Order: sequence, then C-alpha cells, then structure tokens
Amino acid sequence: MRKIIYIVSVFLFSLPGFAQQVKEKEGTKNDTLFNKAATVNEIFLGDDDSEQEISSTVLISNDIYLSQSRFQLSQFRFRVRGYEPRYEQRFINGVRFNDQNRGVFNYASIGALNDLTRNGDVVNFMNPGAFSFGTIGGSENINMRAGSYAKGTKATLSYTNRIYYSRAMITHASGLRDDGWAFVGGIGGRYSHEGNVQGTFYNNFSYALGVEKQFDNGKHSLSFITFGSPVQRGQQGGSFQEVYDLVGDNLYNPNWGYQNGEKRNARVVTAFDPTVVLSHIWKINPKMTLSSGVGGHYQRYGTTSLNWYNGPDPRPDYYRYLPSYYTASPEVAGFYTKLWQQTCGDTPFSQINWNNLYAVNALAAKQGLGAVYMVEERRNDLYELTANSTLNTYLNDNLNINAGVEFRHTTSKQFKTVKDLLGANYLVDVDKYAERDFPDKPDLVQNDLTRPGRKVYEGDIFGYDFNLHINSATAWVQNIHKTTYFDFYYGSKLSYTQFQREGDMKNGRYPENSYGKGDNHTFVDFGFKTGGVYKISGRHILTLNSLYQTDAPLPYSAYVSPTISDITNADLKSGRMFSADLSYIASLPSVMGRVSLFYTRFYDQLKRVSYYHDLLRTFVNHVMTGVEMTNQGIEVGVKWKYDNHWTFDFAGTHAEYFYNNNPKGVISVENGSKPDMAETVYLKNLHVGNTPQTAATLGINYFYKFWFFNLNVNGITRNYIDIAPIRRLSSNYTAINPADPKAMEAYNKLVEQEQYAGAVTLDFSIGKILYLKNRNAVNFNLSFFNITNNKNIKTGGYEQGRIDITAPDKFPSKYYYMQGFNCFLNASYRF
Amino acid sequence: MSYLININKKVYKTYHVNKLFRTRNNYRSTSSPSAYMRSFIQPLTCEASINTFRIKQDINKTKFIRMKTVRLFFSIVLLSILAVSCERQYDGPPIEIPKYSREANVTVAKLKEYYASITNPTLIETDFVLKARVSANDVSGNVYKQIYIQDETGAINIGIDQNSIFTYYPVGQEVFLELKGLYMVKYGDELQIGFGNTQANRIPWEALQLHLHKSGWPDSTALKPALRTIGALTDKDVNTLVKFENIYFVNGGKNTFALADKASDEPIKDGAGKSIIVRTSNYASFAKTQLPSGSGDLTGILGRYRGTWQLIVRDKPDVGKFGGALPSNPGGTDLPPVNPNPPVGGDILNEPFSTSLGDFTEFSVTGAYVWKWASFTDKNTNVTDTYAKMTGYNSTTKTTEANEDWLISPAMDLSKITTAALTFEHAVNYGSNMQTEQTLWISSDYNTGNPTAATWTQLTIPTYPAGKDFIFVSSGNIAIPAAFIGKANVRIAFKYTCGTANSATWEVRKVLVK
Repeated sequence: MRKIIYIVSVFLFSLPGFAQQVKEKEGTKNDTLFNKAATVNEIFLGDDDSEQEISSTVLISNDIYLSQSRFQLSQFRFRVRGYEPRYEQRFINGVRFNDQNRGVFNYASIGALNDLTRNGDVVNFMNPGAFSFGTIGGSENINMRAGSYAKGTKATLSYTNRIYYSRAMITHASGLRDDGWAFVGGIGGRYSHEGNVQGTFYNNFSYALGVEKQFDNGKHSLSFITFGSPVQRGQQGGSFQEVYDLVGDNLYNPNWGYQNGEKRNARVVTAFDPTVVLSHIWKINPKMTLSSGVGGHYQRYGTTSLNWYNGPDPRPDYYRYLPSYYTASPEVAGFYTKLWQQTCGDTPFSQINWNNLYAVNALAAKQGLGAVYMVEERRNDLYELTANSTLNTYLNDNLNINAGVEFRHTTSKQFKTVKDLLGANYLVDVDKYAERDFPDKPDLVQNDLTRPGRKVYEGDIFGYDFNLHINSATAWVQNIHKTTYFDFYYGSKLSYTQFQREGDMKNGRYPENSYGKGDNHTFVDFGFKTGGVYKISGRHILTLNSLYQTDAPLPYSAYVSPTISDITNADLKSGRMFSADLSYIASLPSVMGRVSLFYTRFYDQLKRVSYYHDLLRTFVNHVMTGVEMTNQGIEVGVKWKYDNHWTFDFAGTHAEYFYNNNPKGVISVENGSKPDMAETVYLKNLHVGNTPQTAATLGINYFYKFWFFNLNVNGITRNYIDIAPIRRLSSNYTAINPADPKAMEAYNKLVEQEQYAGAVTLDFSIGKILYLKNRNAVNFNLSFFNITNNKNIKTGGYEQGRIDITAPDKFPSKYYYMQGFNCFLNASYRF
Repeated sequence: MSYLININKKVYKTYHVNKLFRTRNNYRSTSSPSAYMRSFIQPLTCEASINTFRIKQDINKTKFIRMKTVRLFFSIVLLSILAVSCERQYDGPPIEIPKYSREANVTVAKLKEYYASITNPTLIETDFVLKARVSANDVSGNVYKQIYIQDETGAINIGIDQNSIFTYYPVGQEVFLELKGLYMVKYGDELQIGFGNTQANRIPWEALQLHLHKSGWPDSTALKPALRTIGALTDKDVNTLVKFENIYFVNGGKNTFALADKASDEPIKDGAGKSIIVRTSNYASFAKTQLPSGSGDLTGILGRYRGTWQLIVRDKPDVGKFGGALPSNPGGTDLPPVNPNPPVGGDILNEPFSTSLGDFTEFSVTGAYVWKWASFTDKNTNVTDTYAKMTGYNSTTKTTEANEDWLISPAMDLSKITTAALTFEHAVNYGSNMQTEQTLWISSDYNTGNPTAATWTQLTIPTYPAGKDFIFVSSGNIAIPAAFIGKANVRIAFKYTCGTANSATWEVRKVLVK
C-alpha cells in the first residue's frame, strides 16, 4: 500500500517526466521541443472560425527554420511562406486527411492525443517524398500504427492559463510483441470552466485505440486505429478598437452575457470527429514496399450564434450602442461612455443582456407571435472515406521510384438547427431580409417552398439544408535518381475531381436552382514537379525544386451562395500554381542551417467572402474569380552549437504575399432584392492579410546535466489587415470629388490597407529530464510566453464589409489581440 | 479484482484463496513484496505449474501495481468525460410582470398647454410623470423611430433612436413616462417628446429606458380608436387613434399605398365630400398593397403637419372592410354639420374617367347609342388613354343614326364657394358643327331622370379641337356663372347631338372643377 501512495505522490507532486519513445537516440536537445510542440496546436489555436488561417504542425521537422518558426511564431498566427493551410498535407498511417470541402486538416480530431501523434515522416515544402506527390507547403505522415510505439505507459499532466487550463493524458502501448500483435490505447482530456478570455470555456475528452498484427515475420502488417476527441468550447470574438479602449481590455469578448448569474456564451462550438484508419504494409522484398490504407471519419461540427428577427440588434458592440454614434451630442456620448465603463452589476452594458432577449420573446409569445431572438447552430458535418495505395521501390541503388493511387469520397452536410428559442414558442422559417423588402411576395421570402410558412421548434432544421457530394481519384508517380554529385527527381500526377450539390430545401429566391441534385462539375488536373540536389561537398548542398500544378476549385468557394442555390461562378475552372525554391544547406559540426529563396505564383484562384451589405441591407456573397497572388521571399534558419552547453538558433523570413491583379468580382444578394452585380475588384498590390510577412526568432539555449534553459526573442512586422473587397469597388466612390480634400481624406481612409504595428516578445522556458531505473523517465517543462506582458499586439483582424463614404470611421475594422503573459507547465512520467 | 482471482483459482485450492479474495487487506498486512510473494507461493504443491505460476506471478504483480496507478489516473482523467458529457443547460431567467410604483401627476393636454409656445427644443425640468398607453409603434415600418402614447386627454409622440421598438413597447402597453430630463420639441407645428442635440432630436435608447417604464402586460383591446368625421377634427384629436367610417380612397383600386421609392399621400373622402390624406412610407410592409376600392372604414393615427391633417395607418389590420357602395351625394338630406374649418385644397369635382364613367350619369334622349367609357392604347407609344365617348355612328351598317345624349356630372355643392372654374380635355373626330352638336350645359335643379325636364344654361367651351383627329385639347377655363355660385345642387352636362347625315365622335376626359 505504501508503494501505491509513493507512486501516487511522486506522480502528483514531483511532476514526473517523459522519455522519448523512438527518437531517444537522436539526442535530448529535441526533448523539450517535443514537449513544447505538443502545446502549440492546442494553446495557440483558438480553433475559432479563423482557425483555418493558422498554419500548424503535428510532427517536428528536422529543418531548423521550420521547427523554430512554426513553434515560436504561431502565437502571432504566422504562416510559413504565407501558404494557406490547404497547401499543407496531413496523412495518418499513409491515408490523407485534408478534407475535400475546404482542403484543411482538422487538428481538433487529434486533440489531447499528443503522445500518440509524435512520430512520422515529414516532407518539407515541395521536396520529394515517399508517401505522396506532395504540395508546396509540405506533407506530414503521422505514424499511429500500434506496433510503432515503444512499450510502456506514459502519463502527462499540464497546466496553462490560455483557452483551457488543465490537460491530462494517459497512453499505454504494448509494443510489438513476439506473437506479432501490438496494442495501444489512450485517454485524455482538456478542461477549463473559464479560460483566460472571459466567457470562454473548454470541455474536451479524447480517446484512441489501436491494434496491429504482423504476419509472415513482418512481411505483412495490418494496423487498425480508431480515435476521437469530442469537444465543446465557448469562443472568443474580435471587436472594435473603440470598444477595447472603453473596456480597457484587449481581450474583451462580446460573445457572452450573464444569465441567472452564470456566464452564457452565444458562440459555442460542439465538435466530434471520430476516425478510423485501416492500413496494410507489404514488404514485398527488401527493395519494394506496398502500403495501402483506408481511412474514414465522420466530422460533426456545429457552431452556435444569436439570430434575430425584426428586433433591435442584441450584440453589445453594435455601432449604434457606442458613444461614437452620438457625434452630435457630447452629453449623450459621455452618458454612453459611462455605461460602457461600468463592468460590474448583473447585466453589464458591455455584454449581451440575455434577460432582455427573454423578456422580448415572452412579450411576443403573449401576443401569439414567433421568436424575435433565438440561438441557432450552424452545422458543417462531413463524412469522408479515403483509400489509397503507394508503392516504393528501389530499382537499383540509384533509382528510387514512388507511385500511388488514391480514391476519395466525401459528403458534406450543411444545415442549421434551432438550438434555443429563448422562451419563445416557435419561429417561422423565412429570410428576414427578404421579408422586409418583399412583404408582398410570400413565395420569395420562403426558405423552403415545399413547406411554406413552416413553424420551427427547438431541434428542427431550418434556413438551409444541402449536401455536397465530392469524389476524386488521383494517380502519381515520381522518380528519384541519385549520383555522387547530383540527385534529381521528376514526378507527375493526374487527378479527376467531381462534385455536385444536392439541396434539401427549395429556396424562394432560387426556386429552380436549389432543390434536388444540381449540376455535376468535373475537373481533370495534373501536376508536374522536378528538381535536384547538387552536392558541393559532403557538408554543403544546393537544392532546387519546382512544381507546376492545377487544382480543382474547392466546392467551398466554387458556389456563389451554396446555402441557397446551386449557381457557381460563370467561369469555374481549376486554379493553377507555379512554385520554385532554391536553397543552400550547410551541415557542419557546429553550424547547420539553410538559406532559401522561394517564389510561388497562383493563377485563377477563387475567393469568396460573405458579409452584411449596408446599402442593400442584407447578407451578400462576394465572389472573386481569376485572382492571382504571389508569395515570394527569403528564409534563413541557422543553428550554431557553440559548445556542449550553449546553442544558438535563428529562424527568420522576409517575404511578400500580395495580389497581382484586379480580379472580376460578383456580388450576389441573399434576399433576392437585386440581380447579381459584376464589378472589378481593385486588389492589385494589396497584401494578403493576417500573417506577418517579416518575422524572426532568435533562440539562446543552455543545456546542463539534462536541464534545458531557453530564451527566445521573437519579432514580427509587416502584418496587414484582411481586406474587404467591397471597399475596392470603384462604384462606391463615384461621388468623391478629387478637388475636395475632405472627400479625398475619406477615400484614402477607406481604401488604404492597414498595417499593424510590429512587435517583439520574449519567451523563456526551463525543462528537466530525469531518467529513472527500468527505463522510466520523468520530464517536466515550464514555459513562459510573452514575459514582458505586451498586450497590444494585434494578431488578426478584418475590415468590415459595410461602408459609408460620408462617415469613413463609422464602420471601423475588428481586431484580435494576443494574450499578455501566459505559461504552460507540462509534466509527464513514462513507465 | 476478478482477474486476480481467476489466476489464483487456477492454482490455489486451499483457503488462501479466500484470504486473497480480500486482497486489499492482505496486501496491506504484508510488509514487503517478497512476503506477499511468499504467501502466494507457499501452498503450491503441484510441481508442473511452478514455472508457469512464477511467470504469471510477475505479470500479476506488475499488472497489479500498474492497474492501481492507471486506475487512479483514469479517475482523474474521467473528470473530463463527465465535464463533456454534461452539456451546459441554461434555464431561462424568471419572467416578471413589470411594475411601477409612482403616481401620474400630469396629462397630455396639460403638457401641451404648458409648452404650447416653445420654438426650440426645451428641457423639461419639472418632475412630471405621465401615464399613458402605447397607441402606435413601428411594427409595420410606416412609423419610424417613434411611438405614440395616448391618455384620456390627448396623445403625443416620442422620438426614439432605435429600430423595432415594437418588440419592447407593443400597442396597448401601459407606460409611465418620467419627463424630467427629456425635451419638448416642436416639429411641424406640433409638440413631441424628444431629446437635445441628437439626430432628429431622438432620445437615445439607453436614456429612454431610464424614463419610460412599463406597467403590467400589454392589453391591445384597452385602447379603442375614436370614431371621427373628416370634417370635424379638433386640436384635441392630434396624434390620437381614430377611425373613419364610410370613407373611400379616391384612387381606390388604382394606386398602391406608397410609391416604390417614396412616401405617398393618398386622399380618402367621405360622404360629405371632405377629404384627408393618408400618408404611407415606402418602407411600410403594406406599401405595395393596392388601395381598396369601394367604401369602408380606416383606422390610424391622426397626425397634423403644419396645419394639414394626415392619417397614418399603423399596420394592415387598420385597413377595415371595404367594397361597400360609394357614399351617396348630398341632395338635401343628411347634410354634414357646418364645418368651421373647411378643407383646404380640395377639388369640387375631379373626374379623370380612368376606369369608368365614375359618378357621371348618362341619359339617352334620342337614339340607341349612349355615352360610354372607353380606352385606347397607342401601339407606338404604349400610352393608354381613357375617356368618356359618344358617337352616333353605326360601325356595322356604316350609317349614322340620330342621337341626343347627355353626360351629367354628379351634384356639386357650391354653397360655400365664392368662385369656381371648370376645365376638361376633349377630342372630336369627324366633327362638322361642333359648337352646336357638342355643347356644355349647367343646371341647378336637375335631380334624376330626363334632363330635358330641368333648366339648363349653356356654357361656352372656349377651345374646341380641330375636329379631324383624336388628339385631346384642353377646353380652357370655364368660369361657373355667378348665378350658380352659392347653390348646392349644381351639375354640368355634356350634350351630344347628331342627325342622320353626319355623326362626330366626341371623347371627354379629365373633368375638373375647382
């Protein structure tokens, strides 16, 4: 019994540690990074709606620039080379898991399973890889085969002060046993009753179970793994600078309010993505391997929000509730300022007043009317099945051939449900903006003509309901030739993509184009890559990679208003891209690193933005076609090992990501009040927003007897705001007289793209590994981020879609700020 | 536990099994692992199983410890499961009936009297408390950023900077308004409650919440519209909820409540010929509904702007049942009471003949043909003309028949008029003796039936058309003779005659007397 107490107390109080499972031999320098890396994905990704903007990583790359910049700079929402997450491929056991609707990998599906997702193969950028044709942003193949985990149990406990405050994980692997079987299982969770941002919360539980059987002395191995990480979390929202200044807090969250004394968040995400992967590896002979796999997952993703029908706007930071609206009367402006600054009381003016919403609904119910306010849940579910097979073979010592085929089937189900009627009795399923503009056309305002005037109740689907069926097939092949001084490779891929929309509601504004199966869109795409390595010497090499590829448009941006109609852009065609990079890589005993120049050009891209149009007074979808962009720049990653104790590393980039042309844009009005309006959008030379284009991090590391000390100085600048295309239409400015200085000032204010101020932060961490007997190990790590507590760093933001040329400050931009000082304490025990 | 027991059962047959069944106690009692192991091994007699047993021992022990710690850890981790499985439920806050404790100390009439002479927005410094009921709000969009409140003495409107105010203050809601700190504003020569330097003097929403208090649940039946006659409106009626019965829309069946992009003023008239405009905003939900034809009743807020009365319909249900017979013209019976404020700017007679002969009557003295309503669309310009038409020409036999036909106007009450003039437009084709065959007459003693029984005086039409085409010309101003000014039953008539030799076609439209 004492032994139990001893073990438990060791576990709880002395914060046990972690020993590398497979990479132990690689050196302990990476240990703390492994520990830290686990934290990146969860703590820096709010995974709110802007999650898709953040480039992330699961595995650590062996490239200094990539591993350092991704970890240190992701708190600034830094994206490597400015690439969108769809250009980073993620595989699990050889099966691709970027979804076919938006092209992104759902990092939340492996949330709190970090100890099981540490190992795998990483391919940097366009370099040739064994498991995929690859893409410009690199590929990672996470190895979750039960037999690849070292035998033992590992328990981890973490504490942090970000979106969740505690995390626990325990995993157990049997290792590859003599009878060829291997088992692995894990359970974990993350929790906070309220995160560092007011009104947010985090409830997450994760599980994983895997089994592997090797046959025929390891010639065949069949592995099966299933995992999932259901989560429910309250989200943060961005707001205006005026509001941040009024409340005195850059982490103000407009999404919550008190209800019966409890904080209630209007934006809650409920997500669950159970996944199953079955894979088979056949070592045909020592020089040939055939890997096949089938992976499937059903992603349930729902996010709630407030909606209102013919009632005053319930959002606390609506511009008419701000002092700046009362420019005519300083007395009233002062009154509102005082209201905003009173943050005490049970219905603070700065937050949602749930009591008012219930009272208005009760009044309406008394008159037999429907809900004025309600909470809806927008669901974006996805069912996906992927099957692939890859052949790796070495024809001789110098020729390596990789080839593969892949088939994918996806059904994306998008709809919204009534989550909470807030005390009302029912809601009528019509479009509120159409109803306002066309009170005399009852057919037009319906969301579903097959059930006009339908009353909906809690749990009912309303508003929109459609499926996207996406299928694709790809084949690729790649040859790598090696000689003494020269390696070169070439590869090509061919793919066929088909998607079709199937509507389950007949929308009143598009009665002919919304119900049933829509047009079938097919695309044939190809890709070609080539490149090589010139070995100057054993320690210095020069590499050149180039890639030209076409990609089918993502269904997400192909449809103009996918929720209500089947209509796509007039000239829907595959996007093209060309990318090249030239690198010099040095690998000396004490210095190693890489300097690269890269250039990527995108053609024929689609961009879709949805916003509320002030003049038309309804929601619109603004689609731009034929968008051209350039990402180019220089990267430097260097590590200098000064002696056995001191190591210095530096990773930095100076780049430009911008638009090359003025694409054609079409505004499509959701309430049907106007036909589609086509107009050129003046984007040329505007920067791509929300990722710093110049960034660097300098690390000073000290190692002594398995103690690790790191100090990192991070700096970013040239981060621009995400532009709203409506501000770049010339039709908005026909009333501007160039001779009028006031009008020109308004014009310049509206058209100029804001650049955020640069920032420098300091991070510090301490780590220790304790090796105990029996190959047990204890690892703990304390990391402190932003130790200067700089709370004025803008990490993101967007221009509003509303515009008023007579009052350019009326609709200011919304911003997200970085948290001040934050920490992450991690302890794990391996036994 | 049972796992252990199963392994043990394979080997043990002595009562040590029972001891180990209460494994916890046993384990605690042994001081060291080796003692525990010894207690395990001791009863073994079967030789063959020793080795296998030993192996199982080790597995037992390590598995045992591991299971304990794992189990402990599981329970810590399982907290997350519980946290996730319980989805947050939110109970609605309690809904309480609004209450207000103070008493009213002023009425609408007194307020208006007190502030009657203001010109600029005036701060209300006295602690007035007004009790009233909401009579109109912005539910249809016809009223914008204001509500009307009414008590027994009168009604007044309040300018509020907020949209969809109706969700908070429905019609019939009793309210108490604490006026100190608000402003009295004069707009369009009428008083309203508002604020100081804000846009359109509207009260900011949050400020309003501090002044306007609800009392009880809304009762839409508590406030009934007062029956009024267009000719008999007083100061007290300003901004009150009224109902007019037996009225008809002058453009009923033709226009809509409002134009597509602008507000409209549509007149309604009663049996006495008095009219008032119904003002509707193009943002009203019923703006595109057609004005009903026939007579019926209409409810709304009786507004007044710079002395001109106007009716503001609150919502669709205010438009009552229409389609009744148009009110009869006064001919001596049911004369309206003397009107101290005669309507300004009304026409005595306005007949465009847009869809029918209207109130005109026709009488055929001779011949089969009669005055008819007709229309013609020009294919080139797509313009449609509508008019009253008379001809004696038989298009089938292509002959002319002798005809004498009268088109007689409704009775005009000129008793209170000092001057009046008539204009109209007409076209004549195939005309030869227009001055004798197409003539204008006036009478004050015609009632019904054959016009030849009454006394008619001819009026000269100043301008005749050329007589060769269907182009309309204006008749020119025709003054009503002094003899007929001041009479009550004055009628004008268009007399058409033709012989058998030639028949003209006479078209008349836009008859206007004012």
